[in-house]
Amino acid sequence: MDRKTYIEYLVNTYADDILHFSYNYLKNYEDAKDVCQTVFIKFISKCYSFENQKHEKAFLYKVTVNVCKDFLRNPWRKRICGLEHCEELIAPEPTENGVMWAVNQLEVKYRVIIYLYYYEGYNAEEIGKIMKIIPATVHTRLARGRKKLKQILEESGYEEL
Amino acid sequence: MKSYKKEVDQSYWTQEGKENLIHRIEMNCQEKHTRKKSQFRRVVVAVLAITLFCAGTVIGKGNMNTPAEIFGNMFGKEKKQTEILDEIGYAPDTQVVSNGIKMKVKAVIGDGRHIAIMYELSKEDGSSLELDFPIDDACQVEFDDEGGIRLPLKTLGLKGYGITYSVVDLEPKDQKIQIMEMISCDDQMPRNMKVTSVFENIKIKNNPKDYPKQIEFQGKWELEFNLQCKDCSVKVPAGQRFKKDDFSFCVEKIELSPIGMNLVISEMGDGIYEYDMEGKKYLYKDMPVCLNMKNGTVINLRENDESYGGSSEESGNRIQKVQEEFMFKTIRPLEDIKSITVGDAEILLPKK
Repeated sequence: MDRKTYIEYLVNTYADDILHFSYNYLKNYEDAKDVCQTVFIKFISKCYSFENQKHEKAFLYKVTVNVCKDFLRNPWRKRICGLEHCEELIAPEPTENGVMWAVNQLEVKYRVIIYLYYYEGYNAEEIGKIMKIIPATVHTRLARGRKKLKQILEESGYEEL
Repeated sequence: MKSYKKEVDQSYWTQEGKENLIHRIEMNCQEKHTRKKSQFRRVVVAVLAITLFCAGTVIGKGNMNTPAEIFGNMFGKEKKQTEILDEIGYAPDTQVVSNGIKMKVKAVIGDGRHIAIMYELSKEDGSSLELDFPIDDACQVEFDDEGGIRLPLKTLGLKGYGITYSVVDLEPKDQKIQIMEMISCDDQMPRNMKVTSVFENIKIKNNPKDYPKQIEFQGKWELEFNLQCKDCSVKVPAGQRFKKDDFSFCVEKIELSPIGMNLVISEMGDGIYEYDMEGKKYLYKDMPVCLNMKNGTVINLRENDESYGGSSEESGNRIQKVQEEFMFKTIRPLEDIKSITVGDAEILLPKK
Protein backbone atom coordinates (compact mmCIF):
# COMPACT_ATOMS: atom_id res chain seq x y z
CA MET A 1 0.00 0.00 0.00
CA ASP A 2 1.52 3.36 -0.98
CA ARG A 3 1.42 6.26 1.43
CA LYS A 4 -1.49 8.05 -0.21
CA THR A 5 -3.60 4.91 -0.19
CA TYR A 6 -2.65 4.32 3.43
CA ILE A 7 -3.67 7.87 4.43
CA GLU A 8 -6.96 7.42 2.57
CA TYR A 9 -7.53 4.13 4.34
CA LEU A 10 -6.80 5.64 7.76
CA VAL A 11 -9.00 8.69 7.23
CA ASN A 12 -11.88 6.77 5.69
CA THR A 13 -11.73 4.09 8.38
CA TYR A 14 -11.02 6.07 11.53
CA ALA A 15 -11.62 9.81 11.02
CA ASP A 16 -15.16 9.69 12.40
CA ASP A 17 -14.10 7.58 15.38
CA ILE A 18 -11.25 9.95 16.24
CA LEU A 19 -13.62 12.88 15.83
CA HIS A 20 -16.15 11.34 18.22
CA PHE A 21 -13.51 10.39 20.76
CA SER A 22 -11.70 13.72 20.73
CA TYR A 23 -15.01 15.60 20.88
CA ASN A 24 -15.92 13.49 23.86
CA TYR A 25 -12.64 14.55 25.46
CA LEU A 26 -12.67 18.24 24.52
CA LYS A 27 -16.38 18.99 24.11
CA ASN A 28 -15.61 21.18 21.10
CA TYR A 29 -15.87 20.07 17.48
CA GLU A 30 -13.48 22.70 16.15
CA ASP A 31 -10.76 21.50 18.55
CA ALA A 32 -11.66 17.87 17.82
CA LYS A 33 -11.14 18.54 14.12
CA ASP A 34 -7.63 19.87 14.77
CA VAL A 35 -6.91 16.89 17.00
CA CYS A 36 -7.91 14.47 14.20
CA GLN A 37 -5.35 15.94 11.86
CA THR A 38 -2.60 15.94 14.48
CA VAL A 39 -3.35 12.33 15.45
CA PHE A 40 -3.05 11.08 11.87
CA ILE A 41 0.11 13.09 11.24
CA LYS A 42 1.73 11.71 14.40
CA PHE A 43 0.58 8.22 13.53
CA ILE A 44 1.86 8.29 9.96
CA SER A 45 5.19 9.79 10.97
CA LYS A 46 6.19 6.44 12.53
CA CYS A 47 5.98 2.96 11.03
CA TYR A 48 3.85 0.79 13.28
CA SER A 49 2.73 -2.76 12.70
CA PHE A 50 -0.46 -4.15 14.15
CA GLU A 51 -1.91 -7.58 14.68
CA ASN A 52 -5.31 -6.50 13.42
CA GLN A 53 -7.60 -3.52 12.88
CA LYS A 54 -8.84 -3.56 16.47
CA HIS A 55 -5.27 -3.24 17.68
CA GLU A 56 -4.63 -0.42 15.21
CA LYS A 57 -7.73 1.47 16.35
CA ALA A 58 -6.86 1.07 20.03
CA PHE A 59 -3.40 2.49 19.30
CA LEU A 60 -4.92 5.44 17.46
CA TYR A 61 -7.07 6.10 20.53
CA LYS A 62 -3.93 6.09 22.70
CA VAL A 63 -2.40 8.72 20.43
CA THR A 64 -5.67 10.69 20.59
CA VAL A 65 -5.64 10.69 24.39
CA ASN A 66 -2.11 12.13 24.36
CA VAL A 67 -2.93 14.76 21.74
CA CYS A 68 -6.06 15.79 23.67
CA LYS A 69 -4.06 16.04 26.90
CA ASP A 70 -1.45 18.20 25.16
CA PHE A 71 -4.24 20.31 23.79
CA LEU A 72 -5.72 20.90 27.22
CA ARG A 73 -2.28 21.75 28.62
CA ASN A 74 -1.86 24.51 26.08
CA PRO A 75 -1.89 27.70 28.14
CA TRP A 76 -3.88 29.63 25.55
CA ARG A 77 -6.73 27.52 24.37
CA LYS A 78 -9.32 28.71 21.97
CA ARG A 79 -12.86 27.92 22.88
CA ILE A 80 -14.82 28.15 19.70
CA CYS A 81 -18.55 28.02 19.48
CA GLY A 82 -20.69 26.33 16.87
CA LEU A 83 -19.75 25.01 13.48
CA GLU A 84 -21.93 27.06 11.24
CA HIS A 85 -18.82 28.32 9.48
CA CYS A 86 -17.38 24.88 8.99
CA GLU A 87 -18.29 22.76 5.99
CA GLU A 88 -15.99 19.87 6.75
CA LEU A 89 -18.08 18.35 9.50
CA ILE A 90 -21.67 17.54 10.17
CA ALA A 91 -21.70 18.17 13.87
CA PRO A 92 -24.94 19.12 15.58
CA GLU A 93 -24.51 20.34 19.15
CA PRO A 94 -26.06 17.84 21.59
CA THR A 95 -29.64 18.67 22.43
CA GLU A 96 -30.25 19.62 26.02
CA ASN A 97 -31.63 16.76 28.12
CA GLY A 98 -30.25 14.16 25.66
CA VAL A 99 -27.82 11.46 26.77
CA MET A 100 -24.87 13.00 24.94
CA TRP A 101 -25.59 16.34 26.57
CA ALA A 102 -25.70 14.58 29.95
CA VAL A 103 -22.41 12.75 29.25
CA ASN A 104 -20.86 16.12 28.40
CA GLN A 105 -21.79 17.35 31.88
CA LEU A 106 -19.50 14.72 33.42
CA GLU A 107 -15.86 15.28 34.20
CA VAL A 108 -13.51 14.20 31.44
CA LYS A 109 -12.28 11.14 33.38
CA TYR A 110 -15.81 9.75 33.49
CA ARG A 111 -17.07 10.73 30.07
CA VAL A 112 -14.08 9.21 28.26
CA ILE A 113 -14.57 5.88 30.01
CA ILE A 114 -18.30 5.94 29.34
CA TYR A 115 -17.65 6.65 25.67
CA LEU A 116 -15.13 3.84 25.30
CA TYR A 117 -17.30 1.37 27.18
CA TYR A 118 -20.74 2.12 25.81
CA TYR A 119 -20.03 3.51 22.38
CA GLU A 120 -16.93 1.56 21.40
CA GLY A 121 -17.72 -1.56 23.40
CA TYR A 122 -14.24 -1.90 24.90
CA ASN A 123 -13.89 -3.85 28.14
CA ALA A 124 -12.19 -2.53 31.29
CA GLU A 125 -8.85 -4.10 30.43
CA GLU A 126 -8.82 -2.61 26.94
CA ILE A 127 -9.86 0.81 28.25
CA GLY A 128 -7.12 0.56 30.87
CA LYS A 129 -4.52 0.04 28.14
CA ILE A 130 -5.77 3.00 26.12
CA MET A 131 -6.00 5.32 29.11
CA LYS A 132 -2.93 3.92 30.89
CA ILE A 133 -4.85 3.13 34.07
CA ILE A 134 -5.52 -0.15 35.83
CA PRO A 135 -8.80 -2.03 35.10
CA ALA A 136 -9.98 -1.52 38.70
CA THR A 137 -9.84 2.24 38.18
CA VAL A 138 -11.82 1.82 34.97
CA HIS A 139 -14.52 -0.06 36.90
CA THR A 140 -14.60 2.58 39.63
CA ARG A 141 -14.85 5.43 37.15
CA LEU A 142 -17.47 3.59 35.16
CA ALA A 143 -19.59 3.02 38.26
CA ARG A 144 -19.21 6.61 39.47
CA GLY A 145 -19.76 8.01 35.99
CA ARG A 146 -22.93 5.93 35.57
CA LYS A 147 -24.23 7.09 38.93
CA LYS A 148 -23.56 10.73 38.10
CA LEU A 149 -25.05 10.30 34.65
CA LYS A 150 -28.20 8.78 36.09
CA GLN A 151 -28.52 11.69 38.48
CA ILE A 152 -28.07 14.25 35.69
CA LEU A 153 -30.57 12.48 33.47
CA GLU A 154 -33.11 12.21 36.27
CA GLU A 155 -32.74 15.87 37.11
CA SER A 156 -33.19 16.81 33.48
CA GLY A 157 -36.40 14.78 33.25
CA TYR A 158 -35.01 12.21 30.83
CA GLU A 159 -37.41 9.28 30.59
CA GLU A 160 -35.60 6.46 28.80
CA LEU A 161 -33.51 5.21 31.74
CA MET B 1 -27.52 3.69 25.73
CA LYS B 2 -28.90 3.20 22.22
CA SER B 3 -29.81 6.85 22.01
CA TYR B 4 -26.26 7.79 23.10
CA LYS B 5 -24.81 5.86 20.17
CA LYS B 6 -27.34 7.44 17.86
CA GLU B 7 -26.45 10.93 19.09
CA VAL B 8 -22.69 10.32 18.76
CA ASP B 9 -23.19 9.02 15.22
CA GLN B 10 -24.89 12.25 14.20
CA SER B 11 -21.51 13.93 13.92
CA TYR B 12 -19.17 12.91 11.14
CA TRP B 13 -16.75 14.21 8.54
CA THR B 14 -18.31 15.17 5.23
CA GLN B 15 -16.81 13.59 2.12
CA GLU B 16 -15.30 16.99 1.29
CA GLY B 17 -13.95 17.24 4.81
CA LYS B 18 -12.28 13.84 4.54
CA GLU B 19 -10.75 14.73 1.20
CA ASN B 20 -9.38 17.98 2.62
CA LEU B 21 -8.05 16.12 5.64
CA ILE B 22 -6.31 13.54 3.41
CA HIS B 23 -4.82 16.37 1.36
CA ARG B 24 -3.52 18.18 4.44
CA ILE B 25 -1.98 15.02 5.88
CA GLU B 26 -0.40 14.18 2.55
CA MET B 27 1.05 17.67 2.20
CA ASN B 28 2.40 17.34 5.67
CA CYS B 29 4.11 14.03 4.87
CA GLN B 30 5.62 15.40 1.66
CA GLU B 31 7.03 18.39 3.53
CA LYS B 32 8.49 16.06 6.09
CA HIS B 33 10.66 14.40 3.50
CA THR B 34 11.90 17.60 1.98
CA ARG B 35 12.26 20.09 4.79
CA LYS B 36 13.90 20.42 8.13
CA LYS B 37 12.02 21.54 11.16
CA SER B 38 9.67 24.41 10.55
CA GLN B 39 10.97 27.73 11.71
CA PHE B 40 7.49 29.08 12.23
CA ARG B 41 6.06 29.37 15.65
CA ARG B 42 2.82 27.88 16.74
CA VAL B 43 0.02 30.27 17.32
CA VAL B 44 -2.40 30.63 20.19
CA VAL B 45 0.27 30.03 22.78
CA ALA B 46 0.69 32.91 25.11
CA VAL B 47 3.82 32.64 27.13
CA LEU B 48 3.43 34.30 30.44
CA ALA B 49 6.30 36.21 31.86
CA ILE B 50 4.88 38.31 34.59
CA THR B 51 7.67 39.67 36.67
CA LEU B 52 6.07 40.26 39.96
CA PHE B 53 8.47 40.93 42.71
CA CYS B 54 6.56 42.73 45.31
CA ALA B 55 8.52 45.87 45.69
CA GLY B 56 7.00 49.24 45.13
CA THR B 57 4.74 51.62 46.86
CA VAL B 58 1.44 49.82 46.64
CA ILE B 59 2.69 46.66 48.27
CA GLY B 60 3.26 47.01 51.94
CA LYS B 61 0.38 49.36 52.55
CA GLY B 62 -1.77 46.48 53.70
CA ASN B 63 -4.93 45.50 51.85
CA MET B 64 -5.06 46.18 48.17
CA ASN B 65 -8.55 46.93 47.08
CA THR B 66 -8.72 49.15 44.04
CA PRO B 67 -8.13 47.73 40.55
CA ALA B 68 -5.09 50.00 40.21
CA GLU B 69 -3.60 48.66 43.42
CA ILE B 70 -4.32 45.06 42.51
CA PHE B 71 -3.25 45.12 38.86
CA GLY B 72 -0.73 47.97 39.09
CA ASN B 73 2.29 45.71 39.49
CA MET B 74 1.45 43.90 36.28
CA PHE B 75 -0.08 46.58 34.08
CA GLY B 76 1.73 49.72 35.21
CA LYS B 77 1.76 52.13 38.09
CA GLU B 78 2.19 55.47 36.38
CA LYS B 79 -0.55 57.98 37.07
CA LYS B 80 -2.17 57.70 33.64
CA GLN B 81 -2.09 53.92 33.87
CA THR B 82 -3.60 53.70 37.34
CA GLU B 83 -6.35 56.12 36.30
CA ILE B 84 -7.20 53.85 33.38
CA LEU B 85 -7.08 50.73 35.56
CA ASP B 86 -9.51 52.29 38.00
CA GLU B 87 -11.71 53.46 35.13
CA ILE B 88 -11.96 50.07 33.42
CA GLY B 89 -11.85 48.00 36.60
CA TYR B 90 -13.95 47.19 39.61
CA ALA B 91 -13.95 44.78 42.53
CA PRO B 92 -16.90 42.36 42.60
CA ASP B 93 -17.62 41.29 46.13
CA THR B 94 -17.98 37.58 45.41
CA GLN B 95 -16.44 34.75 47.36
CA VAL B 96 -17.04 31.08 48.07
CA VAL B 97 -15.48 28.60 50.47
CA SER B 98 -14.63 24.97 49.80
CA ASN B 99 -12.67 22.72 52.15
CA GLY B 100 -11.75 25.69 54.32
CA ILE B 101 -10.22 27.62 51.42
CA LYS B 102 -11.84 30.87 50.42
CA MET B 103 -11.76 31.98 46.82
CA LYS B 104 -12.63 35.54 46.03
CA VAL B 105 -13.01 37.52 42.81
CA LYS B 106 -10.69 40.30 43.88
CA ALA B 107 -10.84 42.56 40.84
CA VAL B 108 -11.68 42.67 37.17
CA ILE B 109 -10.40 44.95 34.42
CA GLY B 110 -11.46 44.88 30.80
CA ASP B 111 -12.62 46.63 27.68
CA GLY B 112 -15.19 44.11 26.47
CA ARG B 113 -12.73 42.04 24.44
CA HIS B 114 -9.72 41.83 26.73
CA ILE B 115 -10.36 41.00 30.35
CA ALA B 116 -8.17 40.20 33.34
CA ILE B 117 -9.70 38.69 36.46
CA MET B 118 -7.79 38.35 39.71
CA TYR B 119 -8.97 35.58 42.01
CA GLU B 120 -7.58 35.32 45.52
CA LEU B 121 -7.11 32.18 47.60
CA SER B 122 -6.90 32.35 51.38
CA LYS B 123 -7.76 30.25 54.41
CA GLU B 124 -11.31 30.75 55.66
CA ASP B 125 -10.16 30.90 59.29
CA GLY B 126 -7.63 33.64 58.52
CA SER B 127 -4.57 31.46 59.08
CA SER B 128 -1.79 31.23 56.52
CA LEU B 129 -1.92 29.13 53.39
CA GLU B 130 0.67 26.39 53.51
CA LEU B 131 3.02 27.22 50.68
CA ASP B 132 6.02 24.91 50.25
CA PHE B 133 7.80 27.20 47.83
CA PRO B 134 7.74 30.87 46.90
CA ILE B 135 5.31 31.85 44.16
CA ASP B 136 7.17 33.43 41.28
CA ASP B 137 6.69 33.92 37.56
CA ALA B 138 7.93 30.40 36.77
CA CYS B 139 5.14 28.73 38.74
CA GLN B 140 2.29 27.16 36.85
CA VAL B 141 -1.32 26.63 37.81
CA GLU B 142 -3.60 23.81 36.70
CA PHE B 143 -7.16 22.75 37.48
CA ASP B 144 -9.17 19.61 37.01
CA ASP B 145 -11.31 19.48 33.90
CA GLU B 146 -11.78 22.84 32.22
CA GLY B 147 -11.38 25.44 34.93
CA GLY B 148 -12.13 29.14 34.85
CA ILE B 149 -14.73 31.44 33.45
CA ARG B 150 -17.63 30.00 31.48
CA LEU B 151 -18.88 32.44 28.91
CA PRO B 152 -22.23 31.54 27.34
CA LEU B 153 -20.93 31.78 23.80
CA LYS B 154 -24.04 30.63 21.99
CA THR B 155 -26.39 32.78 24.00
CA LEU B 156 -24.23 35.81 23.39
CA GLY B 157 -23.57 34.94 19.75
CA LEU B 158 -19.82 35.06 20.31
CA LYS B 159 -17.43 33.05 18.17
CA GLY B 160 -14.90 32.08 20.78
CA TYR B 161 -12.38 33.18 23.34
CA GLY B 162 -8.82 32.44 24.41
CA ILE B 163 -7.85 32.10 28.00
CA THR B 164 -4.68 31.77 30.03
CA TYR B 165 -3.72 31.69 33.71
CA SER B 166 -0.87 32.66 35.93
CA VAL B 167 -0.34 32.44 39.63
CA VAL B 168 0.94 35.48 41.50
CA ASP B 169 1.64 36.51 45.05
CA LEU B 170 0.75 40.16 45.42
CA GLU B 171 1.83 40.31 49.06
CA PRO B 172 4.07 37.44 50.25
CA LYS B 173 3.59 38.43 53.88
CA ASP B 174 -0.18 37.91 53.89
CA GLN B 175 0.02 34.20 52.93
CA LYS B 176 -2.69 34.60 50.33
CA ILE B 177 -2.10 33.93 46.69
CA GLN B 178 -3.80 35.08 43.54
CA ILE B 179 -4.68 33.49 40.23
CA MET B 180 -4.89 35.83 37.28
CA GLU B 181 -7.11 34.81 34.39
CA MET B 182 -6.73 36.62 31.10
CA ILE B 183 -9.38 36.34 28.46
CA SER B 184 -9.51 37.68 24.95
CA CYS B 185 -12.71 37.38 22.95
CA ASP B 186 -13.25 37.30 19.23
CA ASP B 187 -16.17 39.71 19.63
CA GLN B 188 -17.21 42.52 21.94
CA MET B 189 -19.03 41.17 24.97
CA PRO B 190 -22.11 42.79 26.51
CA ARG B 191 -21.35 45.64 28.91
CA ASN B 192 -22.84 43.80 31.86
CA MET B 193 -23.66 40.15 32.25
CA LYS B 194 -23.75 37.43 34.86
CA VAL B 195 -20.96 34.87 34.51
CA THR B 196 -19.72 31.85 36.44
CA SER B 197 -16.14 30.80 37.05
CA VAL B 198 -15.55 27.25 38.19
CA PHE B 199 -12.31 25.93 39.62
CA GLU B 200 -11.78 22.39 40.85
CA ASN B 201 -8.71 21.02 42.63
CA ILE B 202 -6.23 23.81 42.07
CA LYS B 203 -2.64 22.66 41.60
CA ILE B 204 0.30 25.02 41.68
CA LYS B 205 3.61 23.73 40.41
CA ASN B 206 6.96 25.28 41.16
CA ASN B 207 9.64 26.29 38.68
CA PRO B 208 10.13 23.24 36.44
CA LYS B 209 13.90 23.69 36.69
CA ASP B 210 13.81 23.00 40.44
CA TYR B 211 13.02 19.76 42.24
CA PRO B 212 9.34 19.27 41.34
CA LYS B 213 6.93 20.37 44.03
CA GLN B 214 3.23 20.89 43.96
CA ILE B 215 0.73 22.64 46.20
CA GLU B 216 -2.78 21.34 45.83
CA PHE B 217 -6.00 22.92 47.07
CA GLN B 218 -8.72 20.33 46.87
CA GLY B 219 -12.27 21.49 46.46
CA LYS B 220 -14.62 23.06 44.01
CA TRP B 221 -15.27 26.78 43.81
CA GLU B 222 -18.11 28.20 41.76
CA LEU B 223 -18.17 31.97 41.68
CA GLU B 224 -21.07 33.81 40.12
CA PHE B 225 -20.53 37.51 39.50
CA ASN B 226 -21.36 40.35 37.18
CA LEU B 227 -18.84 40.92 34.43
CA GLN B 228 -18.92 44.60 33.67
CA CYS B 229 -16.82 45.88 30.82
CA LYS B 230 -16.28 49.41 29.77
CA ASP B 231 -15.75 49.76 26.04
CA CYS B 232 -12.85 52.18 25.94
CA SER B 233 -11.74 51.15 22.46
CA VAL B 234 -11.51 53.29 19.35
CA LYS B 235 -12.03 52.13 15.79
CA VAL B 236 -8.92 52.89 13.79
CA PRO B 237 -9.55 53.61 10.08
CA ALA B 238 -8.89 50.41 8.12
CA GLY B 239 -8.79 49.34 4.46
CA GLN B 240 -5.02 49.78 3.95
CA ARG B 241 -3.43 47.39 1.46
CA PHE B 242 0.18 46.25 1.31
CA LYS B 243 2.29 43.55 -0.30
CA LYS B 244 4.63 41.10 1.38
CA ASP B 245 6.35 38.08 -0.20
CA ASP B 246 4.10 38.31 -3.29
CA PHE B 247 0.97 38.26 -1.14
CA SER B 248 -1.54 41.14 -1.10
CA PHE B 249 -2.84 41.86 2.36
CA CYS B 250 -5.64 44.12 3.46
CA VAL B 251 -6.14 45.51 6.96
CA GLU B 252 -9.84 44.88 7.46
CA LYS B 253 -10.35 46.13 10.99
CA ILE B 254 -8.49 47.55 13.98
CA GLU B 255 -9.98 48.25 17.36
CA LEU B 256 -7.59 49.68 19.90
CA SER B 257 -8.02 50.26 23.61
CA PRO B 258 -5.52 50.96 26.40
CA ILE B 259 -5.54 47.26 27.29
CA GLY B 260 -5.57 45.54 23.92
CA MET B 261 -5.99 45.52 20.20
CA ASN B 262 -8.18 43.54 17.84
CA LEU B 263 -6.81 43.21 14.32
CA VAL B 264 -8.32 41.55 11.24
CA ILE B 265 -6.17 41.01 8.14
CA SER B 266 -7.16 39.28 4.90
CA GLU B 267 -5.26 37.94 1.90
CA MET B 268 -6.58 36.90 -1.51
CA GLY B 269 -4.95 33.48 -1.50
CA ASP B 270 -2.99 31.47 1.01
CA GLY B 271 -0.85 34.19 2.52
CA ILE B 272 -2.32 33.82 5.99
CA TYR B 273 -1.66 30.14 6.59
CA GLU B 274 -0.67 26.92 4.89
CA TYR B 275 0.22 23.41 5.94
CA ASP B 276 3.65 21.88 6.30
CA MET B 277 5.21 18.99 8.19
CA GLU B 278 4.51 20.56 11.56
CA GLY B 279 0.87 21.06 10.74
CA LYS B 280 -0.53 24.50 10.18
CA LYS B 281 2.02 27.19 9.38
CA TYR B 282 0.99 30.67 10.41
CA LEU B 283 2.57 32.99 7.84
CA TYR B 284 1.00 36.15 9.22
CA LYS B 285 2.98 35.70 12.43
CA ASP B 286 6.04 37.01 10.59
CA MET B 287 4.27 40.25 9.81
CA PRO B 288 5.18 43.04 12.21
CA VAL B 289 2.43 44.56 14.31
CA CYS B 290 3.71 47.54 16.28
CA LEU B 291 2.49 50.48 18.29
CA ASN B 292 4.42 53.64 17.44
CA MET B 293 4.39 55.85 20.49
CA LYS B 294 4.50 59.64 20.37
CA ASN B 295 7.79 59.62 22.29
CA GLY B 296 9.42 57.65 19.45
CA THR B 297 9.31 54.22 21.08
CA VAL B 298 8.19 51.33 18.89
CA ILE B 299 6.41 48.50 20.69
CA ASN B 300 6.44 45.20 18.83
CA LEU B 301 3.25 43.46 19.92
CA ARG B 302 4.50 40.12 18.64
CA GLU B 303 7.08 40.01 21.41
CA ASN B 304 6.03 37.96 24.39
CA ASP B 305 7.06 40.70 26.77
CA GLU B 306 4.55 43.07 25.22
CA SER B 307 1.33 41.15 24.81
CA TYR B 308 -0.61 37.96 25.35
CA GLY B 309 -2.47 36.81 22.34
CA GLY B 310 -4.69 34.48 20.48
CA SER B 311 -5.90 34.29 16.94
CA SER B 312 -8.39 32.51 14.75
CA GLU B 313 -8.26 32.00 11.04
CA GLU B 314 -10.94 31.35 8.49
CA SER B 315 -11.11 30.96 4.76
CA GLY B 316 -13.76 31.11 2.09
CA ASN B 317 -14.18 32.32 -1.49
CA ARG B 318 -10.42 32.09 -1.91
CA ILE B 319 -9.82 34.68 0.81
CA GLN B 320 -8.02 33.86 4.02
CA LYS B 321 -8.66 35.98 7.07
CA VAL B 322 -7.09 36.13 10.47
CA GLN B 323 -8.38 37.83 13.57
CA GLU B 324 -5.74 38.52 16.17
CA GLU B 325 -6.17 39.63 19.74
CA PHE B 326 -3.32 41.36 21.53
CA MET B 327 -3.81 41.89 25.22
CA PHE B 328 -1.17 44.36 26.36
CA LYS B 329 1.03 43.55 29.31
CA THR B 330 1.20 47.25 30.11
CA ILE B 331 -1.62 49.76 29.96
CA ARG B 332 -1.06 51.98 26.91
CA PRO B 333 -2.92 55.28 27.20
CA LEU B 334 -4.36 56.02 23.76
CA GLU B 335 -3.18 59.62 23.82
CA ASP B 336 0.42 58.32 23.93
CA ILE B 337 0.03 56.29 20.72
CA LYS B 338 0.78 57.97 17.39
CA SER B 339 0.17 55.17 14.92
CA ILE B 340 0.00 51.43 14.36
CA THR B 341 2.20 49.49 11.95
CA VAL B 342 0.76 46.37 10.34
CA GLY B 343 3.13 44.82 7.80
CA ASP B 344 4.19 47.72 5.60
CA ALA B 345 1.20 49.88 6.42
CA GLU B 346 1.39 52.65 9.00
CA ILE B 347 -2.01 53.69 10.25
CA LEU B 348 -2.45 56.94 12.13
CA LEU B 349 -4.77 57.00 15.09
CA PRO B 350 -7.86 59.16 14.64
CA LYS B 351 -7.71 62.49 16.43
CA LYS B 352 -10.25 62.97 19.20
